[in-house]
Amino acid sequence: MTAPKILRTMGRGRWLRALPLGRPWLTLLALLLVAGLVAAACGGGGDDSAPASQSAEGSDRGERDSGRDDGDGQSADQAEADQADQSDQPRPAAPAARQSGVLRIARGEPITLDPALVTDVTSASFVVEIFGGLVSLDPDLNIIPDLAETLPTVRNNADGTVTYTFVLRRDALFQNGRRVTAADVKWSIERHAAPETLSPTAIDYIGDIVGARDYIRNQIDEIEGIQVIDERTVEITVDGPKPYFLAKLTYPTAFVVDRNQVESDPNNWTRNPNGTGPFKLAEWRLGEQIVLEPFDRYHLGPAKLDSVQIRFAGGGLTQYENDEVDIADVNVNDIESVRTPGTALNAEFVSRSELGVFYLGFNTKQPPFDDPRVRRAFGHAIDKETINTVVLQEVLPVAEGIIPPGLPGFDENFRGLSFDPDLAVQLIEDSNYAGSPLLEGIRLTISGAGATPGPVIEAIQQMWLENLGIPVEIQQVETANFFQELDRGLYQLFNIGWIVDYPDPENILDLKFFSGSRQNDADYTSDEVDALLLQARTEQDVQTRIDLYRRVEDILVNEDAVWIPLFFSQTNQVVKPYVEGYVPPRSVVPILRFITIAE
Amino acid sequence: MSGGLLLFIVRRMMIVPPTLFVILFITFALTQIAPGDPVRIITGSRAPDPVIAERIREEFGLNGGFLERFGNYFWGVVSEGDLGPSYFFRSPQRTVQELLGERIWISAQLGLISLGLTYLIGIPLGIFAALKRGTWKDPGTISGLMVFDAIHIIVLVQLIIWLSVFVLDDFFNLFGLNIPSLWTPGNAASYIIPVLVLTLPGLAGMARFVRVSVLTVMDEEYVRTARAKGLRERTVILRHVIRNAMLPLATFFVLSILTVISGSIFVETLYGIPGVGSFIFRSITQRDFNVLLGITLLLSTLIVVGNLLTDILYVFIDPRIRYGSRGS
Repeated sequence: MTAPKILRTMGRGRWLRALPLGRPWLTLLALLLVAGLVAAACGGGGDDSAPASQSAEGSDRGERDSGRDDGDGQSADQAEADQADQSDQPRPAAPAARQSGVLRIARGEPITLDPALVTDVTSASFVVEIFGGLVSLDPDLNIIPDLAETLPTVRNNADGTVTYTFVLRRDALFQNGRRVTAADVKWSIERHAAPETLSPTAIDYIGDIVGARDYIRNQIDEIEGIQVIDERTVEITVDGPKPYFLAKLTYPTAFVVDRNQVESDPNNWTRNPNGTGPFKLAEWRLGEQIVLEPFDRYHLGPAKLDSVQIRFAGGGLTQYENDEVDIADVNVNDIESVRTPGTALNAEFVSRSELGVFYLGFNTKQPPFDDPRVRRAFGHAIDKETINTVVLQEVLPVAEGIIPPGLPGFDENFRGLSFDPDLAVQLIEDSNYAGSPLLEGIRLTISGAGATPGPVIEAIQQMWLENLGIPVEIQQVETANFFQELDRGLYQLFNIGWIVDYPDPENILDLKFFSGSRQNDADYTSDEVDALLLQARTEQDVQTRIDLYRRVEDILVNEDAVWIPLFFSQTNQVVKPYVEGYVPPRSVVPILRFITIAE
Repeated sequence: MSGGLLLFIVRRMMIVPPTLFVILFITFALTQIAPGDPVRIITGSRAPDPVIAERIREEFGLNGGFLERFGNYFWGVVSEGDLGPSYFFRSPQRTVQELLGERIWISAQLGLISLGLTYLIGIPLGIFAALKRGTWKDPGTISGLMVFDAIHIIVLVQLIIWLSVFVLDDFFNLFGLNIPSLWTPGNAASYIIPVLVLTLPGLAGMARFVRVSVLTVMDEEYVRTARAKGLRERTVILRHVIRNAMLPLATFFVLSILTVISGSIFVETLYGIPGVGSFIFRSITQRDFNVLLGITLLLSTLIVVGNLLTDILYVFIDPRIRYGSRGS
């Protein structure tokens, strides 16, 4: 739920370095992708990361998403620990040393708990448990009322704007016991958007509210689109009929914070945040762990756990098998031991798709990739199925299109560019660059700092060489520079991932491909696509809108080949049998309150 | 001697501040030319709105000329001991002092324990090897220890984790120890693996150092004299040989303390230890320049002061060394 994140990179970087560090469910991916880890581990040394941090960015992002960044960072920390995870030694069931009612998990350290500042997956996963807003997402990504009694009533105004009316629950409380009022909602959103708050995400998530953009740019004193009607009623007016707006309100930039607390200590109130969410921050030991405890007057029903211990390192299978954590990510090196039928691990294995996609992107303004025929040739030359079975052991679903499963608009019958080496060669010959020296010295940039780019990227490199006769050089760039240079359009060909923040195709197709969007990393411009996207923004008929996005996806993948989608992201985890009520979330959503620990 | 020594100490101490200033200046300059923009890192994979990016940059003091920024930073450090905020940990806002405080303590604990063990185990083994010169026990001891030195520490960590968590866990359970596969807050057994990994590779070096030192002393004439006057061999070894052989170790000690405080990046990173070593790496990838500058300042102060202490110690240990006026 963090900024649509680019899947953030792990500190250790192999391919899809862009994975959310620290976010257990995504870290997994990171790890997978890091299939080359063993080899790389030896060469790569100690990266830690991050953040976490990036992945979706975060990890690291620091993670920026991810990144984790990073990370990252992302991020980073997990990675480190997971490196220690290469033992596939089967273990006898050890005596359970766990306390009942305590859930033990691992993810990266949050870089902030301020809903206005959070951009990385790792931090967001804490923020959604401690805070809440008018609406929220359930584990299946349906929009549900949170502080509001019901979903809002919607009124179309004569001037083309749309007003959402929310009525707050009578029992919605801050964790210190104070009742949440409509004024709290208005104050919180205005505070997150205020220029001095320096929120990097406010403009994208609440910029649709009437007056918000001018307010963010410090031109007016109030967001007139948010009106307090009475103590429990708040009206939010949006500058047009935008079917995805309600989904944006599930993002932390619309969460409610306690005015008294924020004003009394603007930089440090998050040391002991007074949120409205199901969990309170009970302990934060820098670099080590966070302990969350349930808020027992939570309006949607208090959590059943006694506490949640979240360590900032580890989360891998070794710890899981040694009974140190209750949920762990499974990386590709371990996938075989988990897949063996009849074993305890196999019975505890769960996997679930996430709303993310890993892709190869082209800079559509740089030769030779300004010719769509060259882009398509590169796509037709990759045999994703073989990579999936041979290299990835089928841990990730092959992506035909851009819209991942679970997102409205996903079409399982959609087909992207087929594996067709002859057609690929033909396309190159028909292109403007047939025989051109520009086809030599093509460079694929990935985010990472490992000894090898990882088996997936190496396989793709090999396929291009064999099927097109084109040698492609692989350049690894540290996450810290990768996104910056990507923004500047410095890479002709790059590999990264994207996870959506809210379940609407607008969050990936419009954001990444509309001409002039800041997130348009392919520097792609198309009048046809722009027109379709504009129409989809305000299209009220659900099916028509989905068809518009499907048309856009078809153009992007099959006609213009702006991206070559590779794989959808997927969570692969093992969960102890006594952990009940847990499903791996598909995005960053409040999940802990549903969990119980069986005696 | 005292006058010359005092002058020497004063002169050496006067060099400390300019040395630190130069180190700080160079490090600051390096952070300026390092690729990667801290603002871009905290805003994540999503390209930030340029207006907001500019404001964040301003808040971090990233605008302005190089000298101006260095001046501000340096003045903050000198006048208030303020190392500045972390760019990365923003709310709650963490100062560099806060971020480093706990970590230094953990790294120092691990470092001092393993340093102590290196001396406790390495010295007797080195003496043993020296006394057994000419038998298989001498090369046997030293080469046995060299095995740990020869394995790269990244591999050694994995090996020791695997051994202690999966192979020898029943053995450790006998003592009521359940060794975690990763650093676990509040679990004292977490110390075992990092201490082993930090201690084992250093034993060979320590034992060899002691062995050579003992052998050198054993060839000295005063040892021959001691034997000649009929002292028992045991007395000769304990009183004359070992005592004199240990002198060089004293100076070695100051510097080795410093190196362990800085922590081991590999061990801390791989075992998930929240120490200085793992944090250095993390701060580099996150371009958290204030933190990096703080760590650099801290470590270089320790090293500069440690060197000063070592030089002074030498004067007391070896009376032949004199620091005085240049001409003497």
